[in-house]
Amino acid sequence: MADISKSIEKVDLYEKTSGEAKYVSDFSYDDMLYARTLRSTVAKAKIKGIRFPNLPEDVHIVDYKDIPGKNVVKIIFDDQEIFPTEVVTYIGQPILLVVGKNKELLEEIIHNTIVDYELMTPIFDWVSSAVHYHFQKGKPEEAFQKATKIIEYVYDTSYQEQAYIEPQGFIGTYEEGKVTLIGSIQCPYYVKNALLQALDSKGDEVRVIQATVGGAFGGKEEFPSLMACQLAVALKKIKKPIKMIYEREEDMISTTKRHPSKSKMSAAIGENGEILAIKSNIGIDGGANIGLSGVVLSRAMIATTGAYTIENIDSSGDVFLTNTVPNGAFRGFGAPQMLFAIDLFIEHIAKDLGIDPLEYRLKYLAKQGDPTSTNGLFRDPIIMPEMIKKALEISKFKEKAKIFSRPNVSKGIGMSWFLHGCGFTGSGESTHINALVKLHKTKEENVEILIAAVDMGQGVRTTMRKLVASLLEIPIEKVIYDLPDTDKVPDSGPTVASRTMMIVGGLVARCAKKMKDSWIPGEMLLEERYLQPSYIKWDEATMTGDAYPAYSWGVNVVEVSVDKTTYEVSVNEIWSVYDLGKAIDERIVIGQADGGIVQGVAYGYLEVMNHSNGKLLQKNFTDYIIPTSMDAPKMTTVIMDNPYPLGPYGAKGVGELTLVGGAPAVAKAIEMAIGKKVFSIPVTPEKIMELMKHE
Amino acid sequence: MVEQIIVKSVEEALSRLSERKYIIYAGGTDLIVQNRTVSEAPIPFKNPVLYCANLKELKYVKEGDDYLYIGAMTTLSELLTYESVPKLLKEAIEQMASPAIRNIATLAGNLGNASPAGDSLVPLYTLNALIKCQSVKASRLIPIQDFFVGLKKTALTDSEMITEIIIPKNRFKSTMYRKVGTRKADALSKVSFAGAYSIVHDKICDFRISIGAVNVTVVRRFDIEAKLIGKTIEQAQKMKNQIISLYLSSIKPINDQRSNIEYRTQVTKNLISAFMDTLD
Repeated sequence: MADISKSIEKVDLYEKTSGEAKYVSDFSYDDMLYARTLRSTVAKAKIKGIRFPNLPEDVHIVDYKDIPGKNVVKIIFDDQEIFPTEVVTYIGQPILLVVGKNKELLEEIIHNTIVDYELMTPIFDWVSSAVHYHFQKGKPEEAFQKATKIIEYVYDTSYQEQAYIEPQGFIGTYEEGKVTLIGSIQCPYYVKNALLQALDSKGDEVRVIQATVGGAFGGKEEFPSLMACQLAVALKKIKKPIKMIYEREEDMISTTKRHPSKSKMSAAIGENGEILAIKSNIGIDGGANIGLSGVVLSRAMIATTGAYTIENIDSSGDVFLTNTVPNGAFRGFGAPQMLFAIDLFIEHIAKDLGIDPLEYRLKYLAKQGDPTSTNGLFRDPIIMPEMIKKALEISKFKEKAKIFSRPNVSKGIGMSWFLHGCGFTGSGESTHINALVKLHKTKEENVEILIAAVDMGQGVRTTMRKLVASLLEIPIEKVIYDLPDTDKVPDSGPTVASRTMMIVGGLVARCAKKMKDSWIPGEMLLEERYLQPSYIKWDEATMTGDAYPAYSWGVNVVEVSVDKTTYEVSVNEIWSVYDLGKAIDERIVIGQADGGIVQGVAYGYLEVMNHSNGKLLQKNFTDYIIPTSMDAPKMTTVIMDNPYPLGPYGAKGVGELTLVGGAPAVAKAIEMAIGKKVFSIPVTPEKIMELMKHE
Repeated sequence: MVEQIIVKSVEEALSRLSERKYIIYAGGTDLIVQNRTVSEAPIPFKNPVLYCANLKELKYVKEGDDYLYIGAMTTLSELLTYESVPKLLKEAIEQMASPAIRNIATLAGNLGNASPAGDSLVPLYTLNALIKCQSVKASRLIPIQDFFVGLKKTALTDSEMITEIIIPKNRFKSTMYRKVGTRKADALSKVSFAGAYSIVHDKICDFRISIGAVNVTVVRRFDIEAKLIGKTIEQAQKMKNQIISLYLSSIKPINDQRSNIEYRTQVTKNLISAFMDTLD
């Protein structure tokens, strides 16, 4: 059989390029209504009353009073109301829906509706900690006492917007007591479970179907549940089809983003310049409610020492609540913030000690058998030394660094090393998700993959079918994988955390092997449920043990030029080397790699989002600058095989790995170009100007 | 919905304009964005619209002995195909927006929109462009610096439309165009710069600087330029700091969601300095 990595044509290539693929906005029904959202214009206030203009009879208002079940969006931490009963806590927060036939009329009604607020004092400073975690490894206090020198720096990261091209949206129907939603979503069962609680419904009274998704990047993990609950409440009240699609600006001001962060890093340095211990304290801005922020925080903290092994660690962190738009899932999920801090920090320590950063970093590079930051174990082979060698070779890093380090050369080259834990953090897979997959062979001898995994552009519809076809040794045309529909597929968990191929694909592969072994003509139905490997031990309370079943690893090298007249950064070239176990389809991995690194590098130097008193200043693509194809340089990606025993064909996580190393690599390249230390991303021309002023 | 008319000739356009106020729609790449509304709904223009993009009689580039004549509905992409279009203008156009927008957008539209960050305006200032504004009754030629009368305000009256842009032919020794937009395409300028000079018998005989996005209109200071005329390069270099500070007194950059005053000021300084360093 051919190598599984050998690329095939993406199965949705034709429907997407021809325009046949149906996105949620392409759906419509006779007699369909539209829902538009009235939003808070203040950061914190009590709603005293709402004054509507004269409402035509066929225009409906849907608010908290219409919710049949609990007024809470079921996520992981349930602290978000579906519609506010009394208090609004951020600008852009949905207050109620206005539903009717004529969209322009709805806009006019919203425009002429007056909300009487009793203003309350909003909080924008990071003072109100809602989640605090702390863990230690080894004996950090003793190490700090023994230290001959302590080096401390603070690293800041800013917002990042997912910038999926298709905004959030759902269309819903109500028929004979059953609510059906079609949506642009990553997690059909998150939505379904949230609806059951909101509507106080039984399992078969709610159905969630995925439409073709035009990008998500984590932005369609938990946020859609809020919108879906609101729409479902409207459907139950009005009992007519309703379409609810966000416009770009309302999407940008009101949906979750990457958490801004501040990491205080300190290192205890011994007499020979060695790192005795690292202490990290990270604060992330959760926005107006906790939601997934606690889980984001724990992933960030676990990444405290990145791709390095440090004997003694003290890691603490907080989620701060502020009266700003709630932040949430975004490709990387807390790791990009900490990986930026730690990879720069170790570089800065070496520079301060006058040691070559490359040599210094190599000393601490994690090896197979090392304890992880949380005292778990790096069980599987780590091939980073080979990967680094390869990256140095193809990028000519050393030669270039030597030339670029000279004064008055405004070029720089930076290299980041990183890892990404695959799947849910801690025991999430077994306690929260408990994934179930099914394979169904029809009478016609077609094999249907029944999973809730969503193709949001990453290519899982192709790779899953390829996987099953390959294991069963049947043509890929005989394998069916429709867009998930909760009435048809079991809950195989959300499409997040780089878990889809490794965890869900792993279960599908086991199912396929069983099917092959017991193959009989005619119908067959097999299922497989996730079982945590017994050697994986995790203690949630002390954050000790194996935080992840496996890790993907990566090296990014970025070369930049900085214009000394305008302080603008041009990315000249990027080289990447990844260990993702085994690529199920090389071209699909390269697609992920190209997109991921461009998004990660842009996080480091280009994408600016700020708020002023809770109001986001960049609310469209004119002002929120993401890279264009003109900004994407030549990219070389090398994929190394290092099969993971429990992954299908050895596959580990891919999606997030390709983003998380971008920011530290570009930040280091800019450091070299301007000869100044960088502590804050994005490293905008405005910041470079400030840094260069103090020559 | 407002009245929307696709005009068939310049004559028809002018005659309609003499009757009432219209929005003149060329490529529409600014108008559509500015008048955007929710999806699946028509664009809510506040005034009747005259669609002029199809006026073939206004799609041309003609070269005379002393001037270049650009028809108002010539698209930016089309302009790039003419050898006679000055390099300074081409450099600006090549960095404007994206290919799709350049395929439909026009110079006249960029002028009519009158954004202080309009990228084609800056080289047109440096090139001493003249704007031909025509009505049923008359036609006026307005020097570009008089065409813009304030923030997003032009000298164009409701009964007029821009029919032509006229650029005097010039042979500069050297020109410099820079757009500072942070990313390489589809960016609004934080600062833009167009400089040109000529030298005869070792003395500067022509020196021009236009700076965009740092005031309500493009900054062009004939009085500062005059100070350098007749000077040698060495003399000019010595005056660099003085020249820079004179320019700084006429810029009023702002803090906004794209950049800040300090950056726009510093980059303006650097660009003038870099341009003067090219004197040779």
